[in-house]
Amino acid sequence: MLPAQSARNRAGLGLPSISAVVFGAVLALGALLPQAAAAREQLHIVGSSTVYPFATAVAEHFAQEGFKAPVVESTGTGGGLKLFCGGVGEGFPDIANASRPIKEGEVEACKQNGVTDIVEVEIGYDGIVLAAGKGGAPRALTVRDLYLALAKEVPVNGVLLANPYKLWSEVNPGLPADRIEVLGPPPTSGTRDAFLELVMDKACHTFPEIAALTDEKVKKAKCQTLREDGAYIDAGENDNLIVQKLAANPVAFGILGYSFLADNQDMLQGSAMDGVTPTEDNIINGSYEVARKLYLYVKKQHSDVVPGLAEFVAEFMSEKASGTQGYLTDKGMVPMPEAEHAAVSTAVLAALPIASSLGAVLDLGATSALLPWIAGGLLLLLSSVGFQLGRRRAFASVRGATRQLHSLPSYHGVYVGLGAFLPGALALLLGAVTAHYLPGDPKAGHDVIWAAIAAATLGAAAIGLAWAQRHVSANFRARNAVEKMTMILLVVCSLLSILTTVGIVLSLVFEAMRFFAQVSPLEFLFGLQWSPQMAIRADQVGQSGAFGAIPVFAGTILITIIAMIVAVPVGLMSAIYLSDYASRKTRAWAKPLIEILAGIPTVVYGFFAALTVAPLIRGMGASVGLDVASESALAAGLVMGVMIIPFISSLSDDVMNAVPQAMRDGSFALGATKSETIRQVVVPAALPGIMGGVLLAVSRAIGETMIVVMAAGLTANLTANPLEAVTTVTVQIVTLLVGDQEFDSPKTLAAFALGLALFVVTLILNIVALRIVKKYREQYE
Amino acid sequence: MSDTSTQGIRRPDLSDGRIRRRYAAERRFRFYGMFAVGLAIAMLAVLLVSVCSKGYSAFYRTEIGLDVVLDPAVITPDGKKDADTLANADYQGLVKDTLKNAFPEVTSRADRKLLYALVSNGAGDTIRQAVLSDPSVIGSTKRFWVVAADDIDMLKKGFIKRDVAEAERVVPDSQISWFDKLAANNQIKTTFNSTFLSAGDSREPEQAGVLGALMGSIFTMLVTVLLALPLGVMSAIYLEEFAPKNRLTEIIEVNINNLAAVPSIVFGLLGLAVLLGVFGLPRSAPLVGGMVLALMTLPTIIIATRAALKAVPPSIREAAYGIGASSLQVVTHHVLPLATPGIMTGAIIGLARALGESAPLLMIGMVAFIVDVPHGPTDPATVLPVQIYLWADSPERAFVEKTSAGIMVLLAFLISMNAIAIFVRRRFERRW
Repeated sequence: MLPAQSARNRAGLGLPSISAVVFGAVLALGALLPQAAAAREQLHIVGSSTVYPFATAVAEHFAQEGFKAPVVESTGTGGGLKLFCGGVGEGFPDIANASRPIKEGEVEACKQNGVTDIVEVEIGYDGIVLAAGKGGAPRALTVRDLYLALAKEVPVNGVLLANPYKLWSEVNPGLPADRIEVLGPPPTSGTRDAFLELVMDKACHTFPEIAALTDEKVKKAKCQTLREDGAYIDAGENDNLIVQKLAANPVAFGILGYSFLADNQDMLQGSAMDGVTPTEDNIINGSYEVARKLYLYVKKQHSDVVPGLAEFVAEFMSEKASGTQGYLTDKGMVPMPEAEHAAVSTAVLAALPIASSLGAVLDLGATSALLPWIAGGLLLLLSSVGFQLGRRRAFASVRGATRQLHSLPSYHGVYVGLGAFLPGALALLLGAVTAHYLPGDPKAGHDVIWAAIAAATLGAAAIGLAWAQRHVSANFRARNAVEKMTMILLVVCSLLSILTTVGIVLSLVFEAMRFFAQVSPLEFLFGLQWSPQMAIRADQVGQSGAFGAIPVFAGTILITIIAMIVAVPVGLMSAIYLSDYASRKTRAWAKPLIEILAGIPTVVYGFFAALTVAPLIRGMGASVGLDVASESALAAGLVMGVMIIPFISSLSDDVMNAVPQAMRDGSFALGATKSETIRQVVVPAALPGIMGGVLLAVSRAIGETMIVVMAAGLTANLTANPLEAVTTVTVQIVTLLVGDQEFDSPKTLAAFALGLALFVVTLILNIVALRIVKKYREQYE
Repeated sequence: MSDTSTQGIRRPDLSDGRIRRRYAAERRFRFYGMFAVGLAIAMLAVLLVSVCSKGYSAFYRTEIGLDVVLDPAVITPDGKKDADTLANADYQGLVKDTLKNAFPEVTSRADRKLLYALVSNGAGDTIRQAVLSDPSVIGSTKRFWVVAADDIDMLKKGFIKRDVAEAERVVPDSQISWFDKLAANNQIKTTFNSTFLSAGDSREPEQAGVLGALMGSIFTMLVTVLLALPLGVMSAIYLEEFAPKNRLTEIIEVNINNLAAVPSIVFGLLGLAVLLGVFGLPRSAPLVGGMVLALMTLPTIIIATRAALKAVPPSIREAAYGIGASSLQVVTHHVLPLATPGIMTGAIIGLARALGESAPLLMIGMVAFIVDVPHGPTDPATVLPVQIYLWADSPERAFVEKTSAGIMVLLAFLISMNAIAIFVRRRFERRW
């Protein structure tokens, strides 16, 4: 009907529609904010990964009793207590699970944030067993054997020497002549801590050489430092992975939670410790002594914040849950003896009485939850009305003779629409933020506040609309105005990346500063030894704690190089084949198939690398007489290379496909073969784009986390040999952050320093790469 | 005459050694290309086969048929048939009684416990639903197919071997004999495991489902796409088409490349400090997860979009300028549509990564055990890769197949998400 219908459609596409999506998204997020502030109805539990299976089992039974199912997070003890001590209120967890008792420093931190009333609940024990694959002969060990096999320094003929033993038979002639190889938890783990305390320390004191030491600190340090020459292998926190590795390698031992032995009896055999086999009965009656206590920390101040706190703890401590016959024993927890359990649960019930009636939880009604959405919807409606009005007015001003308009009518429409939208959106966002931070009970006057906000929004939008509408005339430069606004939007978007960087640097820098206050930056940057074995509990003393980041970075670079050796040739050749040789049909299915590689969850690659590729490489190495570590850099690198193939192939394919056919034709006309054309014309023309893809792939390889967490080791070796185990920055960051150690110990803070250092290193790499690309960049056509 | 004309043209002499070498090089080059594509696809096939061969069995389950006496004395002890009484009756007890009566020879307490462990903890729910939907069945005896316990399921599927010594088996001989007796009476059957696709997480493998994580992933991805795609494309347009080449834009460019290399867990730290700390958003919510993943995906999308914009030949732009288009019109009407395939590639790869990511979510509380299926982006939720990771870390043997089945669901989600983007890409793809 209107003469410029097609022109409107054209201009209606593109940026205005993109901006409409952005504005819509921003509005929707704004409208979600008040909902997010709604009262929490379920308990929030954080903490140790050891307690996680038990807490979740209780949570599920608790939910069956009519409460809302609690959310249980697995964050590690240290991270859990940090969140727990963050403050009082709905935003903070109610219960922290711990595989060690809370520390003085943590109690202090709690107090500073107002968390003053903490109830400690002992829930039971976690049995720590030494297990081996079924293939080997059963081996009974003593704690003394273990100490001699695993300590960094052992008494030999009356003096302490660096551990010389390679074979079990050297430790104890009664044992087979197998290589000493023990897979166990990393230094950040509470399980390792307990192992040191219950096995190493105990055995160590039986030696006269140690008893002769007078300084208690030196004594403890000598007793509780594990060797770092590959006999003890830090194997991460995933016990199933250890089970699989043990099944594949009958010589190795693993240190595991009891439940993993119980559920894998067909693959594993538990080793008797000092003549006592790790069976459920032996652990419960106390004759198997390697077990540690598990705890819950309950924030009593939350009893009236969230419904069901006391009830949950009561369920946890009930006979049917943590009692000797309770369902938690089926999940592998070792219960306390009956008398102790009764005493603890009575004490807990006294400390956390179940309230007869709960304070009524205020619920946002359906209408008031909808109000923000209605306000947003009305605003969008008003904006589109503005668009129509502006367009019609533009037509009317020239009586349909669109040629007399400076700008197309739809630009007038967009101008008026934006004129309504921008003030309205501003009012809505300001309103939402004020409502969010309004003092007092946020729910009391919710309806009234939001009605006011909606009114203000619509008012502002209407005023804006009227103001913009007045501008519309034949000579009004609506297009220029709209383009200016769009340009501002574009600039704001590209500044977001700067904001993100600032945010990242800020969130790293403060914690990193605290780290550098305890560890010298010079040692961190240039130190050649990385072994953050520091005390987890207060009564322990520092073992060796070296924070030299060089080996960690070297490991990252080694694995990245291996990955790129796989990914660059395969990716680039695939791209060349797909863009220049393959038929349209082949290309249509092959390219998306390859892209799936980038989307397979990295957890899957991690398992694949650890359970399939690593043993394969190890087997191949053994057949040609090479000694390959079970967590070789090669395995992790190869698999990571496969994952990043699509980053290179898809991006390069797109840019090569975009090289004009005319250039190829020109080369063909000169008599070049296809491969010569590709090598000498297409690839050079596409080089900037290809480099972009490769850089992205390198970045991805450096930042990749889960593959290396599962497949690469945790021991930092400074080596260029791909057959040895190395560790990477990301592995260290994850392990340090989710560990059980205290959250402001240098051990945790080192994660932030590593993150910051990685950030700086990649920044330098990128600056160099950008310079190179710029120098060699060629613009064709 | 003819002599001179043929002398001017040099025909390639195919017997010439140099040409043969060049053609051989050509064939080799082509073969390398095919080999590379083949290799990549073979790797994919290996991964997919290894996942599916382990995971397919999670889609069916073992059920045990029990003739349950719906005793009114147990279900409605006080004679009232209101919904509350019916919902809270001890149906698990009924199941246990049925088993006890079916095997009267089992008398000791320990053996009874083993006998009851044949069926799932949730077996009573089957009966509860039947009674709630039709209370008139109370008093009758009906056959119910209840879900078997995970160990029995594993036994039926052959993952727990019968031929190993009893001490090394999770299922003792007594349970196997009861199971065989039930099987002989046709009281064992295998059906489609609907729970797996319709339930949230659970600590009991036979009751665990993937729906909670799937919904969490959908909400998270929705937030991520809505934020990352428009923001990424717009920043790329500005940087590539409009930004003056000065120090500031150079900083932005380096900065974006650098963000792509930041380990994902660091984005989690950022989310924890800013989104949760400053803005007070809730923990464990897909809303926050989506925002963090959007920040993580942005660099990938920006880099890919810039490469795609760069690849549009200058002649297109010049032609548009020639007919009087403004610089913004050139970009939106001509360059952007032509760059869409490349943008979509970037989006696919970036979002695929976001979909499979679990590390940054740890910091913002999405690595969690959540039973309830989320209904919106602010409900506590977890995502598929996290669910896979959590299951992979569980000691129960039955979670092995659940882990792989979870991966299958994630891949199906990924492929359907990719399919949309590929459709868009194919509509726009062209060559000059």
